[in-house]
Amino acid sequence: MTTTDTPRPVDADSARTVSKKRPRKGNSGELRRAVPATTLLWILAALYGLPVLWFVLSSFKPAGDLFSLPLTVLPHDPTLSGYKAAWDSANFSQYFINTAIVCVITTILTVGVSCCTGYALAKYNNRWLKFFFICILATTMLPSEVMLAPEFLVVRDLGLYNSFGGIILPAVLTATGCFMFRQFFLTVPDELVEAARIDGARELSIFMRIMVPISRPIMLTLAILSFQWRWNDYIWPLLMLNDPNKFTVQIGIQSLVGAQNINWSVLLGGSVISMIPLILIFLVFQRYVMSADINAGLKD
Amino acid sequence: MTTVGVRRSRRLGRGGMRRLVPLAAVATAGALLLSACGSGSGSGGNAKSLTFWISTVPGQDAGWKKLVAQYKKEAGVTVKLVNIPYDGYPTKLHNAAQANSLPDVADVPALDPIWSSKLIDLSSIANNKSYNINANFLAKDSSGKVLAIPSDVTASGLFINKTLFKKAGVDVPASPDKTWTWTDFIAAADKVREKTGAKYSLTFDQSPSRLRAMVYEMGGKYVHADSSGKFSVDAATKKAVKYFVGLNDDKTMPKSVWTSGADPSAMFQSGDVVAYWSGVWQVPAFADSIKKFDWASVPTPAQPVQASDVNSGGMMVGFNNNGAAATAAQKFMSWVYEPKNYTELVETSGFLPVEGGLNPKYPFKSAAAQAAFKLYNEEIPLYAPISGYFNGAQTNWVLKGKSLTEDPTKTELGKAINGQQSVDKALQNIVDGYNQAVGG
Repeated sequence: MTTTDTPRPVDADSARTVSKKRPRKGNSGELRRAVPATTLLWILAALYGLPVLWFVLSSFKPAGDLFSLPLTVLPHDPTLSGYKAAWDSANFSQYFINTAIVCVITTILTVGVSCCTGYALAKYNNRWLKFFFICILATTMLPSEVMLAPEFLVVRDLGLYNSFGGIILPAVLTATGCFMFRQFFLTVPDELVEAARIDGARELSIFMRIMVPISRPIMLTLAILSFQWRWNDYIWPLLMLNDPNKFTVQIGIQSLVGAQNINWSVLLGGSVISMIPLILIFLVFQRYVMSADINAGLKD
Repeated sequence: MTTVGVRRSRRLGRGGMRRLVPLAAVATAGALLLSACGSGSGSGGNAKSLTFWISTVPGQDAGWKKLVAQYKKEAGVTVKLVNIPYDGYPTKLHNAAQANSLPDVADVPALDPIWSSKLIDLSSIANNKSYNINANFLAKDSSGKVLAIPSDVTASGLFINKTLFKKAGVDVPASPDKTWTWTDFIAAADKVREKTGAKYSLTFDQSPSRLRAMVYEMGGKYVHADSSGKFSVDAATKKAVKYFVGLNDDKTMPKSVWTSGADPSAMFQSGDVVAYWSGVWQVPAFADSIKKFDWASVPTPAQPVQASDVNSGGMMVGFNNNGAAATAAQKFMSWVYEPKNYTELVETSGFLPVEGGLNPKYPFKSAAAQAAFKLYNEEIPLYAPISGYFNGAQTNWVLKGKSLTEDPTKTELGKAINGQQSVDKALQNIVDGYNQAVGG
């Protein structure tokens, strides 16, 4: 969390100035230092990228080619049959719409709630607030399987069984989100708040006009994470939803895996399809994700 | 910072609260809106509309889709087919029972004490002579109430890479009456491996069911309960399991399947493995996916017992949600098991029938697949009664309110294969696990 110690906007600006200056100062010493590091990074990128590339290329192979030796990277006669079978096997377009609705609503709510909670936890000093913060952190210390049954009973008794509300509501508050915002707002100098108050700003407008805009990078990071968590959620939607018209994409993918055998070519096709929206979201928002390590070791 | 914070919270206490009221109102309204989306979880269908849960992979649901469409035409009842992923299906049923929203009809992998009391009695279907349903596979409670009828049966079986066998010039038994022993078969497979340079002689599903089949064939009873319900293993079982563990030497069999969950089916499909011990459900998949070599189903070994582990592929149950729906559900199931409709299901989905006297014609283009189904249909009547022991035992456990959620066989034998414990110790742990979960 040391990375968030300095205020973000300043950080972004200085990074830009540094990168502008670098070409001018460029000399052979710097180049020599850059080569091994860059090479290492490229090797690492290849290590991570190759399995994904193979996975995507394999999805174009017909079922008979997948396991036949010698294994090849490129498909001999590329086919879309796996994709077609996966798409036809279930009501995938409906699943996509359902998952998108759930992900978007949950993400907006999660970001809003986490921002408010994080601000309160960082800038207000109350004994019960600290206790509340410990409670939120404690939720990360229980495995989600343990909470599954009691959570189910609560949501059922709220009358949310077999509705999108039942999968949106329990997912709104995440400890990771609150923690991220709290740590960020701790780094915002109190003088900023003082100055705003001297100018006559009210509490809510300080939050809405100053705090929310400067926390934009955190918001987008959390938005990407939250979207990803909800998109990949499987067991909770499966337990909650009964109506096949409300199923999510992951349930559709999982139903391609049978008890005793797996039709790999169909599964590959289905998995690639389900990856596309996430990749698109990431491509659009990635430049806002300031530090990737913010997610390290955290869970939803 | 502390001073700012303290002052802030004091101010909130006075004037700030008033401003927070509208915010709180919005939040509450949102929550109410969400809960309004929740439809009432009233369970069950009615006389004209039923819900039917199944769990199959694409392709194998074709038979059900066909029947459901036909039933709509003939009886005017809409049956809503819902395909639930296999992984999570038992948990889902469990939770649905708690939420009082079970389907009307379901094809389930196993019974569960939490909902077994809500099942409707299927004895009128099971005892209908014209259906000729094999009574060994019915799930009955002590009063004779039939809780479940298998949708189909499955059996363990042996596949070989015919191309490799031909290349090595090794023969395989032609018919189930002249089958081989495990020792003969392993010797033959090893010979093929050595002659052709294949990587392994055999891959063996990491499944207690497949191991049970092998133990039965070698004269053992695997983990078997006595009359008091206490489990033990006999000498033949010990011998067979030791033999099995010994085969995992990274030559005859790869260790990775039982120790780290490698996919034995994928290995066999690569063409680099001589034989594969799996079951009938592989046949439709192989018909599609193996193009590079010839494969065949060969008779299961007998040393000297001709047996296999025969299970219900799925268990058809009806839930008593409400009077009208229960009657309609029973009518639908009765219709499904009419030999004419059932034959259609079996043929389209590639099932082994639970009804006797059918002569299904499977639509496979692959000659190997046709031959495989012929072989399985011939073999099943020859199998010793022990073949159905586990299927029946499971039902009894459920009726006593117990269930074997996780068979300890996989982990314990994995450790034995890995050299972490002796086979005797592994078997002892497995027996203890059975006694603890379902003993007595």
